[in-house]
Order: sequence, then C-alpha cells, then structure tokens
Amino acid sequence: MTAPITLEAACGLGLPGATTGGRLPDGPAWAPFLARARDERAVAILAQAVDGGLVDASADQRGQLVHEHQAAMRSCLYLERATITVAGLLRDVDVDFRLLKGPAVARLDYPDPAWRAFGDIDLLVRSTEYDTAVAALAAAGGRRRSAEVRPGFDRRFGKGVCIVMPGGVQVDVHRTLASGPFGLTIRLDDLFTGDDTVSFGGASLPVLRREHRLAHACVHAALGDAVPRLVALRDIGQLLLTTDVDFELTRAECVRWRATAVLAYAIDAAWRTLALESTPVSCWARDYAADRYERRSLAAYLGPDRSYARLMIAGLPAVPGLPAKVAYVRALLWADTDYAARHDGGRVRRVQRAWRTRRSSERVA
Amino acid sequence: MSVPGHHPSTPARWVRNPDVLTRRGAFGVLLLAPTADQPLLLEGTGVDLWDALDRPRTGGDVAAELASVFDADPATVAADVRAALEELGAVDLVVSVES
Repeated sequence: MTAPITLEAACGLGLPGATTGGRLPDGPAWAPFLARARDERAVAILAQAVDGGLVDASADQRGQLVHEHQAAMRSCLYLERATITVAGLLRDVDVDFRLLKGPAVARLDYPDPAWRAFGDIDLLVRSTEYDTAVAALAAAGGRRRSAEVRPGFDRRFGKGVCIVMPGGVQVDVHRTLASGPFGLTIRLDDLFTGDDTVSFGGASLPVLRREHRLAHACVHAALGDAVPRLVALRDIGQLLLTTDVDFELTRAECVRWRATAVLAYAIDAAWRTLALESTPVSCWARDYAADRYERRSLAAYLGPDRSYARLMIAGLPAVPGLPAKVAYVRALLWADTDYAARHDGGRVRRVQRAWRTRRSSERVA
Repeated sequence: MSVPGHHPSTPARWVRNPDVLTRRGAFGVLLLAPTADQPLLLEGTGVDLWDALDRPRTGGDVAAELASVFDADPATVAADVRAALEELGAVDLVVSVES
C-alpha cells in the first residue's frame, strides 16, 4: 500500500516536477487533513487532483471533496460578481485599480479556475486615489474593519484597509503589497504598467502584469503570514512552472524594490514545502545571500514574534527622507486615541511597546 | 417559449449568456446568472447540453447531437432539450440570437 501524501505535497499536485501518485490519508488522519486543507483554502486543489487521477482517494473522501469543492466554487462565483460591482463603484469615481490575487490568478495562471479558491476581493489603487476609493466603498455601505493609526496614515505609509461591504463581502483595498519595510520600498507606479486584463461575467478588469503577479505572490507568501500559506506557495509554483512569466524581469523589479530576499525566500519556501524538483530558479533562490537591510527587514515578518507594531518599527529605515520619517514616527507613537485604545491599551503602553520592539529588532539584525 | 424579436417561422438559436459566471468540477457545472440569487448546478447530460451551447444553435441541432452521442431516442431528447432551454432561458443563463 502506498504511503499517504502530506497536505504540503498535495498542494503541488499537477505541477511539473511535483509528487506523483500516492493516496490521501485515511482513518483517523483524514478528518484533520481535510480540516487543515479547508483552513488553507486547498480543498479545490485536492478535489481537482483527485478528479484528475493524480492521487488516490476512497469513495467517501471523493464524495466529501466534491461536496466541499462545490461549496467553495459557489462562494467564488458570488465573490466574482461582487468584484464586478466593486469595480463599477471605483470606475464611477474614476479610480484606476488593479485586481489582485483571487480571480486574476485563478483565471489567468491556473489551467482552470476551479483549481484556485479564494475568500475575499483584493484591489490595488494609487496612493493619490486611495481616499477616493475608500470613500466610494463607504458610500455604498462598506465599513472599515479596523481603525486607521492616524488620519492619512494609510494613504501615506500603510498597506491598505479591509472594507466589509453589505452582505459581508470583504474588500481589501491595497495601497501597496505589504505592511512594513518591504511595502514601503516597492515602487508603486511600476505596478500600474502593463495592460493585462481578466474577463469574466461580461466584465474586463485590469490586473497586474504576470511578472508583477509573481512578485506579489512571493510578497504575499513570504510576508503575509508568519508561516507561508500553502495556496500562496502553490501560486508561485504555478506561475514559475506553467506560465511564460519572465522571471528575470520579476527579479529586476525586486532588485529595484530592495525586495530580492522576499522573492528568494518565497520561491525557496515553495520548492521545499511543495516538494518540487529543483530548477535553476529554485537553486538561485536557495543560494541567494540577502544583505543586512534585507535580513533585518525580513526578520520582522517571520516567526512567532511577528506583530503589526514590529513591522511598523522595522519600516522606519525604508521611509524616504527626514520629514517623512518624523511624520511616520509621530503617527506611530501618537496614534489616534481610538486606535491606540483598541490596539495597544492606550498611548503610554504603545510607546513602551514600540521601543521594546525597536530594541528587539536591532538585536535580531 | 416565445423569443422577443424572433420570427416564429424560423427556429430560435440559443447560446450561453456571456455574462454568466461559471465553475466546472467533478460536481458538474455551476452557473450564476447576473441577476440570480443562487448558482444553478447542471449535472450529467445537463453539462453536455451546456457544452453544446458554446455557439449559437437551434434546439433541434443540439438535440440531434446529444441523441447521437447518447444513442437515445431523438424525439425524447428533443423534448428534453426544448424544456431545458426554456428553463435556462427563463433565468438568463442562455439567450437567443438573431439568425
């Protein structure tokens, strides 16, 4: 009898150089395996792999996956329709945007969108149009999920905001691709180059060009969570192994953004986690030696000590110019009363925590 | 079913509504029309019917193809296809086009 496949390896199924064969774990191991797949939004990958004969499954497992896959795809259809509505709201106020992740990657980079589930809507807007975009969604009944550090902070330094629309659909309005230092060094105008679009439901929506989709997949995988999400790692393998993405262009952009370490870390994590065969790109990623700035910045995102405060403090060196640094520090130390009370137990404790975090970051570097 | 603007002496030609959102898997094909509250799930021969509507075709053409593929009674298939097209048309999943 063949050995059961791990969820990590299963998330690489169907990619060139991925694990082949095997079977899903059964008996008492099956329920936690499926629960984790659900949590990682990987049910769609499992269901498609089983349906394509890439991994063996019992009739019961197959039935469960078909049922859950259908539920996940129903949710994706609703989200795609909501995406079209949100795009219309932004176009009504002349806001330029790029659709990120979700339907863009599912429809443009996977062999079939049924492979890639998603749970929210992600859009990138220009800093200069950020407030207009948020106001347009608020006018349609959307409400912020979290308070802003200080009025105007998001537009100048933040990653963006999650807006919860009526009906519960979450729209992440991004100003940049990550919180913290790497989000501050990405050259945002670069992301609006190219004219790639994705079409669905009678709408044609602008997306990042493929090389930037790869960069964003790496940013999301490496910096989005303390431990990279499996579907984010699958996106990286999908883009590098099955599309015509120009990796050298992606790498050149990441050099300009002082984020080459992010690219390397994410690609190496994808190859190790999904158990993919080595390629020249994966070998480059494995052997990449980050400089001091990159190591120090990356450390703020990784491991159990990750926190929003730590990311913000680590971002200080990336803020360009003294006046902007002063404004950044002032905003962090003297956060809006409402924000500080909710997030840090008041202003005094916030200041204490901020400087403890700063000292901790210096020790790591 | 009457088709607006369609001359009754020529058979209607049907095609998928391009505004419908779809997903296909082992479960079948999920279809979400622009104004629908819920997706409709097509399974079994319903999937073959949907596949056959990738270009404008009359119900008779579709029925003839499906009867051949499934080696089924043409009259029975024609009746089923006619009913299915009426149902899909009523919820905007398919639309009729001019000849």
